[in-house]
Amino acid sequence: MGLLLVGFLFSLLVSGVFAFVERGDSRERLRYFIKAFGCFFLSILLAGWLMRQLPF
Amino acid sequence: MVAKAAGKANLTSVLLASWICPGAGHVLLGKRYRAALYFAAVGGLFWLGLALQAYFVFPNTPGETFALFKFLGAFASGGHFFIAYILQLGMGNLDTFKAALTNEVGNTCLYTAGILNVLVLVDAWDLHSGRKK
Repeated sequence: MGLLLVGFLFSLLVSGVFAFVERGDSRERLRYFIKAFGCFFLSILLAGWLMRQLPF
Repeated sequence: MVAKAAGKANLTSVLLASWICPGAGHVLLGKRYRAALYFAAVGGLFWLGLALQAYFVFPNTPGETFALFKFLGAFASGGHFFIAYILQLGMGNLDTFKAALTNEVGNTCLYTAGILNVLVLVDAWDLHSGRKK
């Protein structure tokens, strides 16, 4: 299984739970989910890219 | 029927059900869709972690830093932890697990599942006490 897919699944599941725990209104929840998912997934991509630059 | 059950469910049974089977507490409170999401998220991350060569750490495991916290992170997943423990998954020679490329990602998923289940418990508590709808 590709680690990119794992990162995608991780972001999807965690953002889903966060959205339901943090927001009550369904419209607000969707906005929060999209924001959290984007932040998680972009952070994973950025951290992965940064770690590729390390010499060890 | 579900609304009637929600009125009768006491806090201890809601929290215990939620810990043993993530989302079960929300079923008792009549939040079925939310329960399905929580069950899928906690279970999905837990078993994904084990599939990626995560391993269980116990408080007496030698050579592990923060062993107690790692144990609690996995233990918080409740029923999933016990099923994996009975099936002897994530246990054995730790060097074999550590040699796997995906081990650290797997461990991250495993501990995240446990921590998410704690959030699910708090959410169930809030719903039960009426602080949340």
